[in-house]
Amino acid sequence: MKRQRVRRKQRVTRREGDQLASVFQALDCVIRDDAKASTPIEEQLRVCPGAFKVGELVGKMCDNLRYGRECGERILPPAGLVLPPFI
Amino acid sequence: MRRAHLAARRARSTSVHLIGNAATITIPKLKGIPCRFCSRWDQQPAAALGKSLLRLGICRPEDWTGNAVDFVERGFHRFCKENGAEDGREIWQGSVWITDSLFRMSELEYYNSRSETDAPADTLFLLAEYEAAASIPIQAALMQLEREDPLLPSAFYLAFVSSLHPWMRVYDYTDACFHAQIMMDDLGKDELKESFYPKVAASVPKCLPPHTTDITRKSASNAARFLKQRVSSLQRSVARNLVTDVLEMYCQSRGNQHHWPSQLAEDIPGLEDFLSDADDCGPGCAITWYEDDVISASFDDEMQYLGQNAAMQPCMLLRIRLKQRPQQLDREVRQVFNYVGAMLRSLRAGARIVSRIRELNDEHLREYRKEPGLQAQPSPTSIRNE
Repeated sequence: MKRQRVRRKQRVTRREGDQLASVFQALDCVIRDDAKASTPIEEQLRVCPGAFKVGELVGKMCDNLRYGRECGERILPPAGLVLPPFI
Repeated sequence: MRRAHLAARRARSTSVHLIGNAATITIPKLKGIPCRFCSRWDQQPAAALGKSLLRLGICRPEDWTGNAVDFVERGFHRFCKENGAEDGREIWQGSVWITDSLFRMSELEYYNSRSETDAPADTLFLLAEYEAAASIPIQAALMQLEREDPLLPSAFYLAFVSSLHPWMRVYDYTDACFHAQIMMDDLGKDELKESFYPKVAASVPKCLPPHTTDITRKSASNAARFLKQRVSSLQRSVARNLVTDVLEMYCQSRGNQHHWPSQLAEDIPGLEDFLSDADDCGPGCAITWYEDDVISASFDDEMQYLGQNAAMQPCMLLRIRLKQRPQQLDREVRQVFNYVGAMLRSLRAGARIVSRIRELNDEHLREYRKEPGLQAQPSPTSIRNE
């Protein structure tokens, strides 16, 4: 019983040690990342390409709302419409 | 039984609640996409600091989300929370932040400044500033302390103010008297009669040291020693609580000195020019006798133009040099975080003191106000009646 507890503790300690080492490694990778500077847009695309796709989709959606209807009509969704939140 | 009944009711009512067509718009989910964009040059200094914070145990492996800036932010938030930032925030309106830039900039300004540099920042700064001065109407508390011992108000005041000095600019009667003296030099006899300036020095209670007396480290430690001797023999719980809290505050503040930005002016390029163009930093608190008194008037007089024509100086500035050996870096980071921790713990005790002082002030007002609920300014209704 006691041995099992000690082994479990050792396993947890080892797992924490591995986690710590992997974070150190990840931080080292960030520090070493010394690729030549590109334009801000290229840089943003490199770091977060998904955000650009989302931005493009939201932009298209807004364009559709703004220009897809006749002038004078509401450009916002109807009152009471529940939009799923951004997660 | 109950479950079956609910299921049956749900099935019956499904069509009743459907009131419209499905929306044609789909909002994309941002799951798995970092909600904050940080360029590589933001990440690199943060990663260097993050490694040090991980070694010191301030950041934890579970803080890692794939972004070095977030990693540091999570560790720093937890550190502030553990040291009482949330309790202190109820009274002190200020902020502490770690940045690679000395000045507050818009995103565009930040990118423009970045385009002029050819390497990521090798120094990070810890800055603090106060957005507003906490009002501390202290006269009622001093009166309570004086009932216990005539020397208690002075000792309490010295210990309290000297415990605030390492963390903020304190506005009190010494500043008000100094300001009033300067203003009086330019006024004629008739103007002086109408002015509140001559009343400022006269308003100082006799139980406090004269406004010309400087608070030294020795006088503060003498005051703390006196308070320690007297705390156990105090009869009233109000006085005992005030003295206990101020001793805790003093204990946290002792040995720390204020890190004014000007102390680094020679070491950081551009800082001297910035400071010479900037307005003074705002005080973190204003110690008055009661609300809307001559000290408050002097405070308003002095602060009305602060920050209007130029940026205000930060209240404190500490630097973390990243390009040094890990051991040296860790020592510097530990010093900075020890200082911030002491500040937060001290201000947490200070917040308790200020709350008690405000309660005493309210009680005093309730007790001695001739007509309870009398407004200081006539209301629009009473003006109309007149």
